[in-house]
Amino acid sequence: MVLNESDIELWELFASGSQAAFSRLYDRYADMLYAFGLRYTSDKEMVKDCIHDLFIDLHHYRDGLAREVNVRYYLLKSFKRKLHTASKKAAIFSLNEWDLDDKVVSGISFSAEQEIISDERQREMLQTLAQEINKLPERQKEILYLKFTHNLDYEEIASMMQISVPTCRTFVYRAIKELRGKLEVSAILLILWAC
Amino acid sequence: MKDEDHDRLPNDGDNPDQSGPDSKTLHNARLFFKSLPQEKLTVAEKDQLWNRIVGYVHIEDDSSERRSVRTIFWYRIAAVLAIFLSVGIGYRVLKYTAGNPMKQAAEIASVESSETKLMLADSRTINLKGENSDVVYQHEVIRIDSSTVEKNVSPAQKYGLNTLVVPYGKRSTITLTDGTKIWLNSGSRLVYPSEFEKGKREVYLDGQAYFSVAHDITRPFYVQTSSMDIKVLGTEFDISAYGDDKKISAVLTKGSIELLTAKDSFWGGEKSRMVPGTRAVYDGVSKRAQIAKVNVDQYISWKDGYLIANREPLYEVFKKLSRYYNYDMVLNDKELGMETFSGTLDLQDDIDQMVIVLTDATSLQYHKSERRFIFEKKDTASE
Repeated sequence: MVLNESDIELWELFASGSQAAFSRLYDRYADMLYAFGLRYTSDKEMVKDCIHDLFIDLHHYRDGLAREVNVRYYLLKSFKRKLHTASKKAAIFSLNEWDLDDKVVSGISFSAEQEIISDERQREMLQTLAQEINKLPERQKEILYLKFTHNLDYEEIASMMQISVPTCRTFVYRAIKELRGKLEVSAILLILWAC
Repeated sequence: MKDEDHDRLPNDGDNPDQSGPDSKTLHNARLFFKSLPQEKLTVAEKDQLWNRIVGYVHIEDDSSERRSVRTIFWYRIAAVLAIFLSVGIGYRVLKYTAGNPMKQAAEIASVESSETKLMLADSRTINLKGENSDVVYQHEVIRIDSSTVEKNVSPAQKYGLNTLVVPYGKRSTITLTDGTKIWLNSGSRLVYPSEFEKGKREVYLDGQAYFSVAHDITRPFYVQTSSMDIKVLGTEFDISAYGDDKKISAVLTKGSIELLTAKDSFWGGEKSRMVPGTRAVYDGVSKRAQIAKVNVDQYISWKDGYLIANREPLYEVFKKLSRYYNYDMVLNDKELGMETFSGTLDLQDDIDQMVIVLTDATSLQYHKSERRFIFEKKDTASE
């Protein structure tokens, strides 16, 4: 992304009371949070409500916000908490056992909508890789998702998943080792159309 | 050792002393995950959600003690929002019919004039002297350079259309009632209402302009051109849509815009969304828009008085200069036009100086006659 101000600059502006920064913060993160939320639940309206609540909270508590943070991590962590609470509430009404951590990051998939990859065979290869990843245990999948889609570091992931840093690191290493060969091939394809 | 977030860099060592995967594999994994399809809010959903947030925040601020400049801003948003909702249906109907009068207004006004002209809704026409003019719409008056005129004689024309015509060789800036500032390049026409209606802000452009759109989520800003519309929420971008160019382009520096292309098509056109640092080129022949990452400075430098060329064919450079200075520039040799030119040209220079700079840097020589420069290949014998 090419952006004129860094996340932390924007964050500081927001924390010091700028409404324009609040609006830009929303512009920048709403889609990311939405995508993140939909990895955990398919209830789009609930995800939107959680984004709503998160931004209301941010606005309400802006004077007391920590200034030196990784903005993305901070938002994801707070947002995940919101999702968790909301899903528990929903569970009471629907009388369903619905534990957030059991339903994590389902559906890592290469859909046919990914039309940039026109070649059928290439798409298939990427799909195979997606399937391999989907076979991993849910928590490992979530760790990979946080690490690679959201660029969180091991400390941040560990804190979000409530595991130790070495455990988190080991998870990533192990998963990557298993996927290594397939990753090589797909990466070439991805580079081809990313340019 | 260092617990900085080295982790984030694609080429990180990732503790090479432990038996971790190499950085290449990590990089590949990252690439793969980033390419996974992500659910996205539609533009309408995103706006709607934001309106909900703003509405809530406003109520909260209202009931607390917080009464600073900040609250005033939210008040305004909330007031406009309320009115917007009540005219919502009318707006939908209007949106599809309002295009034509603006286009017609633009077509009536010719850029073949010697002075920049401001044509007001009540059919007054004001000629603006000077190469660079500045027009600012204020509450009751329009400030033009250092003088002012009354904004509107008849109240019936409150939303009437105004046209600013900037002929070749001139430039102008204009600030509209909502605070949006627009830099118009030579040979451009901009049509806009004296005052924006509630719920939308709409202008029509033929030519090139750089827009710095005032943020107002309740009134999206639309720029219409002959074949591409741009929807804006508050952002900075450049549009080049000269009637005599086959291609229309938009360059986005900040924020986010949505393009609606092939708008005349039976299927209602195509939508694509742009992110900062990209340029969309719409080809009128193939009727397709392509979006690519670019160095934006190259496309918007004209508004600060520079022309930055980066391996640009000479005929493109000449086309721009010819518009800017209103001189004909004739290249006798087609092949010469394909030669590329890189460099920064200062548009404050007068045309003679400019041509000397250009010929020094290329294999061209020129003669001048009246308002015309004729270029040909340098005669090496005369060197």
